[in-house]
Amino acid sequence: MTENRAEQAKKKEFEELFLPLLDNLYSIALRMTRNEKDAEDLVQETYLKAFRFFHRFERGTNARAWVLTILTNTFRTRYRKKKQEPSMVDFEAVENFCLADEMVKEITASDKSVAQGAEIVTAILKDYVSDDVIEALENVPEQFRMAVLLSDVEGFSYQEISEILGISVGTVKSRIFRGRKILQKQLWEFAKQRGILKGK
Amino acid sequence: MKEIRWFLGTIANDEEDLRMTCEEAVRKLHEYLDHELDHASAEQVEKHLEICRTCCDHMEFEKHMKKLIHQVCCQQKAPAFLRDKIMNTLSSDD
Repeated sequence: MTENRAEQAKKKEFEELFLPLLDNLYSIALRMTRNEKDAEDLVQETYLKAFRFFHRFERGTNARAWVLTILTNTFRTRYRKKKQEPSMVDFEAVENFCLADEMVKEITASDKSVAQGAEIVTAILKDYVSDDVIEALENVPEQFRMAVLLSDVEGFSYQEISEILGISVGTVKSRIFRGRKILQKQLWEFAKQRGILKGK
Repeated sequence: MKEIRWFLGTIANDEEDLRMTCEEAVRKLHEYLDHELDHASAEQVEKHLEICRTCCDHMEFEKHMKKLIHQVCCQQKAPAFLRDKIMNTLSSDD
């Protein structure tokens, strides 16, 4: 096989393995960079790096985890300082926060007859629009947001996330837990600001 | 005698299951939803959820939140031009 044909075969294999993952990479990149232009650049740079280091990819291993490791490293080194991070979160305050509990407390305080439980809170969650959830998510500090996205959007196990982010499984667990709590606290602030609970 | 021992063992096991407090269950809820607990711990959480309405509601809510994040983030697909741009970049990198 000539060098040219070998290169073509490599490119074909690369495209077959990694191009179907474009939407996955883009959705994570968009939530991390918080704007379309940077997300496009981040994804493009990730593909280019993955192609250059394709010889290091072990066939038969998880291609999605491998390419997301490149994306998260690229994000950390290039994009994280570009946009100012939201102010630091008081972890003590969020640790025991539960959006469901706060909502039920608020609703039953004004109307004792109202039904409690998951049904009513789930119904309220439907009142949030996608933009609220995205804004709340984007206000979660990066390191927590990334762990939540890899778990909730990509469905990786804690072990896989620990390998992608290069941190211990214990740290993954704590970042996911805190990240979800911070997100709920944000949604609670939106509910109060926008009167989502009124009339429930 | 064997039956008595089995019976006492059942009671001891039941007491152990009931010993999981709401605080413990809530602490394990995220790992439970993420399928990260071992079989025995998952079973303990499930037994607590069966008898505790509050924790059960809490679990349903967290499950719903997880789904919501997934749905919202998966809505936005990569623009079509990005795919072409990437393929062009790969070609020029040969």
